[in-house]
Amino acid sequence: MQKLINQLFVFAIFCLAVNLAHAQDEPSMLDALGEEQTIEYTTNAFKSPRVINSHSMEMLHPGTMDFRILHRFGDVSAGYYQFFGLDQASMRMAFDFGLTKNLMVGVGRSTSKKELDTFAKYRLLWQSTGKRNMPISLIFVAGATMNGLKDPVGNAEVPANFSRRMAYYYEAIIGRKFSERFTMQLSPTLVHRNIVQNKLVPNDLYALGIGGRFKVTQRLAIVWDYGYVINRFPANLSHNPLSLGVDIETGGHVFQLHFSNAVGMNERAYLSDDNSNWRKGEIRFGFNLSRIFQIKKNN
Amino acid sequence: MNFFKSQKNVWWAVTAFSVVIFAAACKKEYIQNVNDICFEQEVLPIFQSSCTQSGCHNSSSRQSGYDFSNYDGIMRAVKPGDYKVSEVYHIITTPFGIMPPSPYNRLSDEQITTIALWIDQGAADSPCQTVACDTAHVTLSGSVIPILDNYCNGCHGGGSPSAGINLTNYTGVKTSAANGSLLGSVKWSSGYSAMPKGSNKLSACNIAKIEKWIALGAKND
Repeated sequence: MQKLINQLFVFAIFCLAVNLAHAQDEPSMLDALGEEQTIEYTTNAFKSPRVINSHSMEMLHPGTMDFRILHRFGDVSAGYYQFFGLDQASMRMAFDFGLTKNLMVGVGRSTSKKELDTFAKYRLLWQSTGKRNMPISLIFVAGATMNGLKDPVGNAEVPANFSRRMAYYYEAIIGRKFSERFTMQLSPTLVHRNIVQNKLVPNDLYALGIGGRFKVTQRLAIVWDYGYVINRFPANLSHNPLSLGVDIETGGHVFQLHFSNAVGMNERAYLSDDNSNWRKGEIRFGFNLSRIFQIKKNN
Repeated sequence: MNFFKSQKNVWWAVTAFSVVIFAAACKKEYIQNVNDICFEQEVLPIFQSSCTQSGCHNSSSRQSGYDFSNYDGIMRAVKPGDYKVSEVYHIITTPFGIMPPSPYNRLSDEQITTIALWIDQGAADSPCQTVACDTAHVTLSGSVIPILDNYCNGCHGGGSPSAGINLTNYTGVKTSAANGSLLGSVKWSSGYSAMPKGSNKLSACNIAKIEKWIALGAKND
């Protein structure tokens, strides 16, 4: 029953979005008066297709590839002996591709749990002004992760198989670039894990992400990214991932430097794994490095 | 890569790949506990260690009217079969006014899971299966720390450990093991303060494990 409701919910959002998109295509009264207008699409709401951990309302341009290297270090509170956490690094390497104007796909591999992940991200609505006035961008992401450990379950009586390695996530991103400097987005997310540790841990985790950016200069922006997980077991607010950082743009690179309590770097990992506790000072330094390559000529 | 020149083909490729990947998306499994949670050995020690300090929820202080030193007292805050509405679960996980209060630590996720699973299984005053006592392979992390976590560290941990004795890390345990107070206290030997205070003596098996670990040199293993 729960699953049916989930599917209906996702389907309803999809239908609503498609309807909205069509409704917006109809010519307005202004056009009938013969005024020549063009659609001004909003760009550069974020510097990169990721806020910090979560997907942002930005898309890659068609024909480009984004090579991303993400690092998360150990707890800063570990002190000088561990060089404030920098002695322990966990990383994720990812290749994201812009296929069409509104579709991108990507694959990634994390050291944590030797996890492979893949996603497809589709833009249903694109914030715009002018001939077509659309206040928000609406983006849908579906992804899958695969635990690559030799023993993913950690229980001798439960043999590993393909489905027990898999987890999935579905995410809608509702974002708006309010001004040249300020962008906010909400992202309701569903993480489904095929197998969980015990009866009381929910297979389906619901979360609400809140991400944003404040641009300070042309090349520098402050970004934040929080995920409120509604039905985590055992409930623990301080395990919700909260990241604060700066984006620095240098030519074709974007450096995202940040502090976070999140350990994982894909949706399943940073929403469902045990993160550390901000209130105890268990934060960690991390950076995302993004380099965009043009791999196909635009016609 | 002519195939990907057409936008239609790109869509087909993405869809086909998704079908393969998402084919296994509808499984809902959890790792089943073979044995029921045992109240006497697994649940009661958590309450006695973390809730029944002097001035808290023991039989003489009965802070807020709750006595968590025995089954009947605990059941006043438990709705069998439904951990979500049980007051006990609420108070050990709530972000505001959490128990145990500062400076004591939040119960570990494992302890909270044990309590919730026990409630979910009906919160019975269950007789426990007698497990053969395994003192052949005794280590600090595998044998001794779990005992200390469940029976001692409600008081001897957190921000202000009782009597300055902190049993949550190797240094603290080693100190108590070296001066004989650890073994003396749990064996209720004369000249030592009998521990755990205000509750039953540790089982013979648990005492044997601690004794063996000390005899092997109290190593950090």
